[in-house]
Parts: sequence; structure tokens; C-alpha cells
Amino acid sequence: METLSLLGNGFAEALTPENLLWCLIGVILGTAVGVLPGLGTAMAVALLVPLTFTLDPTGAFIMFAGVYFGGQFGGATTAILLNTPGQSSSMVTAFEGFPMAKNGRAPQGLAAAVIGSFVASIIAVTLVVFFSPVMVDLAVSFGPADFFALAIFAFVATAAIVSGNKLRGLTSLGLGLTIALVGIDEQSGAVRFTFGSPQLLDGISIVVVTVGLLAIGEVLHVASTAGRTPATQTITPGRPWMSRRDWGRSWRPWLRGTALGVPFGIIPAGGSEIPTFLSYGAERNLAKRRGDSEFGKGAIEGVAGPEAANNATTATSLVPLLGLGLPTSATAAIMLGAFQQYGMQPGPLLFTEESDLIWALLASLFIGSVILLLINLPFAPVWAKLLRIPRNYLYAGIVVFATLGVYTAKSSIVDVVLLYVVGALGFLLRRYGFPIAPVLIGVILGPLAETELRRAMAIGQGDVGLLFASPIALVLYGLLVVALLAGPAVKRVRRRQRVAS
Amino acid sequence: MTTSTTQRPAARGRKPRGELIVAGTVAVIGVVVLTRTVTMDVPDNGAFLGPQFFPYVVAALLLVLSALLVLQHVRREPVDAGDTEPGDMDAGDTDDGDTEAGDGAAERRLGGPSESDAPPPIDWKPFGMVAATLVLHVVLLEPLGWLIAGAGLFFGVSYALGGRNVLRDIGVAFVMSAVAQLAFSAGLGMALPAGILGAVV
Repeated sequence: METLSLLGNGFAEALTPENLLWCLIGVILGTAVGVLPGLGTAMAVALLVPLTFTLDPTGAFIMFAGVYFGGQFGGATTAILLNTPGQSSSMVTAFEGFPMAKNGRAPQGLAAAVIGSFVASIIAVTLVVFFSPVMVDLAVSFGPADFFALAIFAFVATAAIVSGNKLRGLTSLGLGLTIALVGIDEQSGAVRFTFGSPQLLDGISIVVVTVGLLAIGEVLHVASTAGRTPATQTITPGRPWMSRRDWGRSWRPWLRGTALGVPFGIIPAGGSEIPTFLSYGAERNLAKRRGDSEFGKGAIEGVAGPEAANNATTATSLVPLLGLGLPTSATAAIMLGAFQQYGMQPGPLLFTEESDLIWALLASLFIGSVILLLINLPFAPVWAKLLRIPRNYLYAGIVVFATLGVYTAKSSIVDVVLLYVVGALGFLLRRYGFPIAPVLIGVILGPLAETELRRAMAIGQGDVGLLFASPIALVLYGLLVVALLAGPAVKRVRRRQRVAS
Repeated sequence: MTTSTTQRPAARGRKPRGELIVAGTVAVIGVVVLTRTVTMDVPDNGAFLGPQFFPYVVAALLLVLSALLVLQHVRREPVDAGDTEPGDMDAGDTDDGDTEAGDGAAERRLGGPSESDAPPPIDWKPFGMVAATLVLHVVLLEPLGWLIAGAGLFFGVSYALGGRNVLRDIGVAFVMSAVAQLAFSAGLGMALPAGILGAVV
């Protein structure tokens, strides 16, 4: 088993005391950011990316894995304790999690979530380990037209299908594509949209865009409603362990949620929101069939299933990310940005060129989920205390760290200006209900789409037919059409569940 | 419940204007992209699709989208929010607009009333103070150095969001700024501007 020995080497590389320390710090910081109201996994990763740039790549990615799992858990914690999910993929968790918390069963809810994430992550990462090389084999045969088709697929999937409102999603995407235009055009050397600023020649960093959209945008949003936002309060937790009955009720939802979540990460259609809703719906219907009416009043199944689905999807979204260089969620988009900061281009070549690093990363995903389980299961209620930090300090601290992180990356004041400008844009989008993820997908995949389109056109001497000549591209466009037709159906299901809940 | 105490704003009977504001912004950006593309210096190396092609596509996309947003706004019934859907993704943005009762309830449960299509009016005072703080920080970061400018940034945002224990807040701000400076420059070896204190320290 070549894969196993490679993974073994990865573990050997990752399991140094120093790397374990980075992973531990990552989990703690990730949870700390994820737990803050309104900030989810994507934000945790975005804010902490600049911190990892000083480490060597292995250490950085291991810390990254920790941040990622920590942020994931932190988002679920606020959903359960405060009914304020940090991200839409934790939205469903709040449906049953918050009633559980109100009944004094917050620790059990948190435990169901954290063990569910653990189970789902372990299963999903195992699949990633075995599937990524297969994906790579497939991807090696991709030509420019196929990559272009893939980018288009990701654009339409995230902008139109996942985000619900097509027009708004596409608008966000368009803004992202615009941001990606800035800088020197790699193929011709033309200077585009720098407005005479030499600092803009390299383009606008993805870190600036993400931190601006998420962190600064959120703070401006909070400020704009400062007079009305009610103060947060913590709920005192009860007995902190899951009973035998809780375990009995949870393990099947964990597995079912994982099974539902896994395929959604692998197909580049973005977002772990749909599988969480599907899992919630499945658990509720099964409970109804059993004659169990606890749903709506804090059913542990309603936390266990969706959290597992959420984590399974985010973990398997690494398959297209590593194998194709294709991010399918905001979090994956930021990770891709981090890869690029290290001068690596995820995609088929990554596994051969940076083999050690990739396997160390995969191994650290296992380590990260174990560390998460070890430190967060016993201390989950402690995290909730973070919410007692006064709100003004909390957001002031976010602004300070966002600014500092962006500034130190390049010691450039221009980046700070850009950060705030992008933050204002993020505020506008946030305030008027335009999704953020398509902006990020546009920024990251825009250059890929342009490059591959121009390559394909150069090969075909302007023959548009070449774009549709490859079977892979045709399959992708076909899938897209199917997904566009199936989208409204999913939406109807979602709506029914929302109204019913 | 922790989030449902505030009243939902009266969204019925008036059209939410959010789309128009975004549509205007998108249109302006589209025009800028278009004009800059027209006047772009293109190196003459005979590539098939030059560096202007993609910007033209993006500019056209932006202009079409802004037109569609305006159209959607014009065609919308003022009472019913029409065909908007929850437009949420990973990043903390939540529901955008159905005013029907079921969704409204779900919205209140999830994210508070401030995230609907017709958001409550901007609270200009704290918002303006945060914005002014950010602008000042950009201007002062290099002349004053991180320690002072960073503390100012922290204090400004904190004050804008209702922190009124001024002396304590200033203290916290300087501690935060100093800890950040230590962590980044001593711990991680990154340079931060020393500013006017550079000569002293």
C-alpha cells in the first residue's frame, strides 16, 4: 500500500513535539475565534493565516489544520449556546442545539457536536487520503478547456445554486472577478487596474480580501446596528457528560450525517449548507417515524447529524482543493490562498512536487481532530466564557488583529487601505444580503478561468468549439445544467423545513 | 432567547432599497473597469486573446448585473418581497429578505432582525466613529508608529461600540497594542513601524 506508507511518512513528519505544539495553539486560537459571535470557520482561518506565514510550511499547515478544526467547533459552540451560528453551515445546529442549551443540556449538545465532528472528520479525511491520488490521476489529463469548464462550474455552482438567489450570487461573483483583475497580467505583461500604484502590481492578496470582507465588514456591520444589538449572555451549563442514552441516540446520526456530507465535499458544487439541511431533515423524519416528538425541543439527533455532515463536507472539500486546485467553500478558498502564499499551486502537480508536505498536511488533519477532541470535549463550557468579554473590546481586538496581520504580511500601508476599502464593500454586501463566498471564489478562480480560456483559445486559434470538444468539459457543463435544474427542488425542501421549524 | 427582544422594523409597504445601492456601486465599478480597459497599454506580443478580453467580459457582466438588480427592484411589489431567497453562505451573511411570516420567524431565531432585506437604518454615530478611526489609523500608522496608532485603533473602535470607561479602555488599548507588537516583532520577527517612539525606545 503505497498510500499508507506515504501517510506514515506524513505522520513521522507531523508528529514532532514542535509541530504538535503548533497544532495545539492552532486548535486553541481557532476555537477562540470561531466561538466569537458572528465569526465562523472561514473567519478563524482568514484571521490566523497571516500568523502562520512565519513558520516553515509544514509547521504552518499543521497549525492550519488545528485552526480549521478549532474554528469549525467554535462555530457550532455559538450556535448551540447562543443561537448565533458563526456560519450558515452551523445554522441547522442551532435549531436543536439552542433548545438543548435552554434545557440545561448545553454540554451534551456540545459533546454531540464535537464527537460528531471527530467521527466525521476521521472518516472523511481517510477518504480524502485515498481519493485525492485518484482525483490527481484524473486531473493530469485535464486540458485548458477542462480547467476552464471547471472554473465556470465552480462559479455558477457557488454563485447561483448554493447561495440561493442567482442574481445576488452572480453580483458577488462579478465583484470578486473584478478584484482578481488587478495587477500584472501574467501572459502579456500588461499592467491592469493598478491606478499607478506599484504596490498593486502583484495584485490584491486573498488574505486582504478575506479578512476585509469578513472581519472588517462584520465590525462595520456591528457598528451600524450598535444601538440595537442586544447584549449576549451565557447559559450556565449542567452536567458535562453524555449519558449512555445520549450515546445511543447519537452514533447513528453521526454516521448518517457523515454519509450525507461526504459526497457534497467531493463534487465541486460548494458549501456544506445543503448536506446539513438534508441531515437535519432525515433525522427529523426518522424521529417522527419512531414516534419521538423531541424535535423542536432539543433533540440530540438534530445536533449530532448536521454537525457530522458539516464536518464531513468540509473535510472532503479538500479533495477538489488538493487534487484540482479548486476551492468549493470560503474556507477552502482561503486555504488555497495560503498555499499560493507559499508558492505552491494546488492541483495535480502538488502531489508529486510537494509530496512530503501534502502527506504531512493530511496526517495533521488526523492529529488536529484528535487534539480538538482532547482539549475541547472537557473544556467546551470554558469556551463559552469567552462570550463574556465586553463586546466593544471584542470587536476592537478583531480590528487590531486584522490590521496587524495584514500589515505585517508585506509591511505595506497600501494593504491596510485596501483592507478597509474591501471591508466597506463587505459591509455593503452583508447589510443588503449579498453572499460573501462567491466573491472569494471569484477572486481565487478568476485568474485560473482567464488563463485557461486564453490558453484554450490560443491552441484552437480562436475556435470556440474547442471549449466543448473534451468529454470532461462536456460532463461538467452537463452536471451544471442538472444542478441548475435540481437547485430549485433543494430550495423548496429547505424552505419547507425552515417554515416547519 | 437572547436575540429576539428588539422589534422587527416595518418592512411592509416600502421597497427595500438595498439592491439599488449595491446596483449603483456595481455599475460604477463596471464603468471604471470598462474605461480603464479601453485606455489600457497593451504590449504588442500577438497573443490571441489579449489582456483586455477578460476585463471587457467582467465589465459587461457587472453592467448587466447592475441593470438586472435595478430591474428586479422596479418589478418588485412593495408589500411582498417577491422572489428573493435566503442568500447565505459560509461567511456569516444571513437571510436576505422574505417578509412572509414563516421565514421572518426563522430569521429572528437565527440572526436577529437586522439582517433582512430592509435593514434598519444605519446607526450613523458609531458607524461614523469606526470609519473615522480606520481612516485616522491609516494616516497615522507610519508617522506615529504601531504602539500609539494601534492603541488608538483599539480605543476608537471600542469607544464607538459603547465603551465609556475611558481610562480603563485606554489602558486596555495600550496593553493590547504592546502585546501585539511584542508577539509580532519579538516573537515572530516581523517589522512594525516604530514611528516617533522609535527614536526613544
